[in-house]
Amino acid sequence: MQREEKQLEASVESLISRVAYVKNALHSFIYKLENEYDRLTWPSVLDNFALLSGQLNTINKLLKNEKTPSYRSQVIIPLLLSPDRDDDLAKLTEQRVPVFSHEIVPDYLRTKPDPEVEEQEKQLSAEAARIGPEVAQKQIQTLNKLCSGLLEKLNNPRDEREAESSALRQNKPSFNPADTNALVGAVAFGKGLSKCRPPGPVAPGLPGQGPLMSGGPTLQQVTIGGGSGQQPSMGGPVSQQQGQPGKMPSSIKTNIKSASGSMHPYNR
Amino acid sequence: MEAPPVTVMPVTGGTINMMEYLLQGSVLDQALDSLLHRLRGLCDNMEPETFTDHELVYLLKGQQGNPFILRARRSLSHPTAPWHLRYLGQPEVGDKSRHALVRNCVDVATSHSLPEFLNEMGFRMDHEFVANGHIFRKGAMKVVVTKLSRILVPGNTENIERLSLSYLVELSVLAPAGQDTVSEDMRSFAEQLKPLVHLEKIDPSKQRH
Amino acid sequence: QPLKYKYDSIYKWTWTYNRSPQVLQLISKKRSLSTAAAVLLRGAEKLSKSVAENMENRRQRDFNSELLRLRSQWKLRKVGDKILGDLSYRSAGSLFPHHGTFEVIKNTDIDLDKKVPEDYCPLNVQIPSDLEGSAYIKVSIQKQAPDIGDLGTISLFRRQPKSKAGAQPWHVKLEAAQNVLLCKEIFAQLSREAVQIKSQIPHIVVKNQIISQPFPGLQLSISLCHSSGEKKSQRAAPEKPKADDHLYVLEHNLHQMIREFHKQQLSSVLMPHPATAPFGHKRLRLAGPQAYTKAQISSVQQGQGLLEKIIKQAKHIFLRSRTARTIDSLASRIEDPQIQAHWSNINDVYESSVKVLITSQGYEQICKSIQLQLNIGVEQIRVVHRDGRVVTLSHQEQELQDFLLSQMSQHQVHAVQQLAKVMGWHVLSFSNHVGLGSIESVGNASAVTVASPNGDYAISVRNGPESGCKVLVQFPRNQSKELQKGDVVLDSKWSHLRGPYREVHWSKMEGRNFVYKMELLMAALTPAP
Repeated sequence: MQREEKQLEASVESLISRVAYVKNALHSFIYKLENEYDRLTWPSVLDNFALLSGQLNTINKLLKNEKTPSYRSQVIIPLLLSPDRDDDLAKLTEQRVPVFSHEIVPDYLRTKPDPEVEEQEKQLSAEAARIGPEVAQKQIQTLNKLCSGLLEKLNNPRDEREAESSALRQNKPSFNPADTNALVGAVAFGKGLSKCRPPGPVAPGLPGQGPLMSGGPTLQQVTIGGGSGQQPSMGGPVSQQQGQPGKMPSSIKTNIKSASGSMHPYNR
Repeated sequence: MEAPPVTVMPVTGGTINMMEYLLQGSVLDQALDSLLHRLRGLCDNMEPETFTDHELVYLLKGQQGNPFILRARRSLSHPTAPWHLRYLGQPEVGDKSRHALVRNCVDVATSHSLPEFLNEMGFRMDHEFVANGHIFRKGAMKVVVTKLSRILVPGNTENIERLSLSYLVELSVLAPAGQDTVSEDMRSFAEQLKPLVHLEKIDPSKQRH
Repeated sequence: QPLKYKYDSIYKWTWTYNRSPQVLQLISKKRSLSTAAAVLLRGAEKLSKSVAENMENRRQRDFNSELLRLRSQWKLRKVGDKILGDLSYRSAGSLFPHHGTFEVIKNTDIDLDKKVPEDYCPLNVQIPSDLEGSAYIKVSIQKQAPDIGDLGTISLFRRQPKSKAGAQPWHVKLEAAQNVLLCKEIFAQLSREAVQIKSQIPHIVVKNQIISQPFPGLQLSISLCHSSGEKKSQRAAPEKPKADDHLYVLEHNLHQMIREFHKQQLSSVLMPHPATAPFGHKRLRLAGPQAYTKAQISSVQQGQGLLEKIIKQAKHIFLRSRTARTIDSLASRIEDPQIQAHWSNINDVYESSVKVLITSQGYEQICKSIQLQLNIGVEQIRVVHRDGRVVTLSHQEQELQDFLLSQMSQHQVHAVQQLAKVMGWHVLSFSNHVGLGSIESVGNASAVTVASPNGDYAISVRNGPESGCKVLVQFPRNQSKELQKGDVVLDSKWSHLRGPYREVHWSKMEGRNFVYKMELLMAALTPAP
């Protein structure tokens, strides 16, 4: 019981403060409308409305809060009514309620909604009764579905959405650097194209490798030979190399022999 | 006295020493169409031109390790056109700031007896391939989009098989030696083809392994 | 304490609803959503209506829509925050080094309070300063060569080009600038060739004019007339009286030729097959493998330049007009025989042809032996006779005139021959070029002798271009008074032979032309049976 009382007190206090905020906002808004109407711009009016709606939202949230006890179950009964002016009350209510008398009690302590609101509620409930429970249920379900779908889309992290749109925009990579290298190699020295080789560079092999080898060495062999410098493998039956790159005799199958030093009969 | 090795002497075809400035890249098959459209818009306003060529690479082994390479190329789509013989030197290792690969280049048009002639001279064919694709030009710049195919049966250019799923894109200019503005123009043109294709200076010797 | 003022909550009691809150919520939510949606829709509708209205009003005045229109006709690109365009012919194959860049500017000097002027355009283009104004190339031929110092005056632009109604001001401006650029390119090409090409009479390039002499005494001048800005033509040009010596055909041809050159640049003949070959004309690539000689190579290379072509065309035009003038002057001067010229409708820029008929009036069917086909080339005229003879005449006017005169004189004699056939007279002798009598200074005299059907009379005609015609009639002996009867010839039948000749006073003869007179004479000498 104590706890409930305490809860009630606390919630009433917060409610009062929220309502005070709303009151202040309304106050300033009305002031602006009345005094500065010629300078007022639509965006600032919108701002005010937004503020008010935000505050009303907070109040709603507060009321829905589980910690808030149900005010419906509370009843306010006036204990003492007097037609005399009550200064304290007046101060509390900022001169709006100076007297706690029989006239003001029905208005301020009423539990039923305002007449207009009552009227609207009656209309709504008439319509509700009119459409029938099954139709209503169906409509409720569709509404819920739509809202949940919308919420999902809106709530999903923005990155997902951006990711999929950017994926559409962004071209899939239109070139492959590995392919570039392969093609350049093929054009420059026939990597992968040599007629008697499997694609790929060839390990320095024994002479005579490959059945269709013609006299001259191929690019692959020679380059690797040039690179390593030790065993340039030369196919073909012409002449053995001497392992000294500088003094290799020519293996060209022509009659043109260059006058190399090693071929000179009197050399060495 | 040893004869100087074959590749050390500067090779010139005539009085002017022509250099080829080259930038290379590749493009996947799926992106080929957009590349062709873009090139059509960027390059000179001509009817699009396709080509089918058959290239044979001949080697002459010299004194030193590096053999002498000559490239013989003929057009399969224009069988009566003359053959084309090309020598490409080593890429010039100049300043790194030069944007394109520069190498000495000699181009000669020859008659149809070129393969026999080269064989008689002692060259041996190392490899051959079939290239087909599209060729564009912008002023002096030539853009060639090539699909390379391997020849399965030597000598038979019908029986071919693609080498990769990409097209090779080459931007080249033939100019006399010493004109460095050429590489600037090439670079700005290559910028316009990004991000479809990245044309860059690829050192062939680094591709060997 | 003050909270629990004079009221208090005593007890709690619950309050339950006896109707389902969900449906109520549903209804109320629906209502509120619909009101909110209605507000938004109303606002959207108003907005779209106002935008559409605005668009309608300002469709022609909106910068962006104007820019779109500009873009549909001219090449634009965005550089930084400026919009630049290209008005040169480079994308059509030109190699002229002018950049041809124009800039697109937003026109902001409009005062929104005042009424928007009718020709307001929100877009303005700024063209390079050296392309302002308008230009054209003027080609003209002058007979006398005035002093070289005289040629400094360039005729300023006389007429404003009429702009199509409805064309945007920027379009007009850009087209004019492009035209100026093209004219500059043409002139640059011509002057370059004028300096480089060696010809017998060197071409002179002075400021904006190129002067060359296709024929001696004839001067061809090609000038670039560029008037910049809004200046009206100031000088009543000394060219004004010669305002009609514009050779519009040549000017048009110059434009055509430079466009042809552009097209060549872009032609696929330059593309290399195989693909690694360098660019170049495909015929030149055969020079190596086919071992062309130097002559063959130079024939494959670019033929004549612009200037040579234009000079050739100018020569041809001049030759043609002079030929026409010669023929016409002859035709008006000489009535008998008549000279008719039928010019062919379809001509080449370097060759025209005309068929010249020399006839006698009234006897066209009979006397049509002189039909000449003249092929007027660039420097020569080739004449083909009906009988197949070919004569080549030079460009000299006098040659053609003399030739035609000699043909006319021959015609008369031919006409007698044809007439004789028709009339039944026999042709005794005929010669196109007689070696007797005085020498004509132009051509040769021709002569014919015809005899009457019964042999009694003979007419002998000698006609020369200069000496005119001389007609003699041979009478039978018995009609001649001069002859005496001799003792040797006793038989009277010998008196029927033809005897002496008597000249006819041809000028007193009746008949409107030579052949008519001849016919009358023949008729008179043919006795009725």
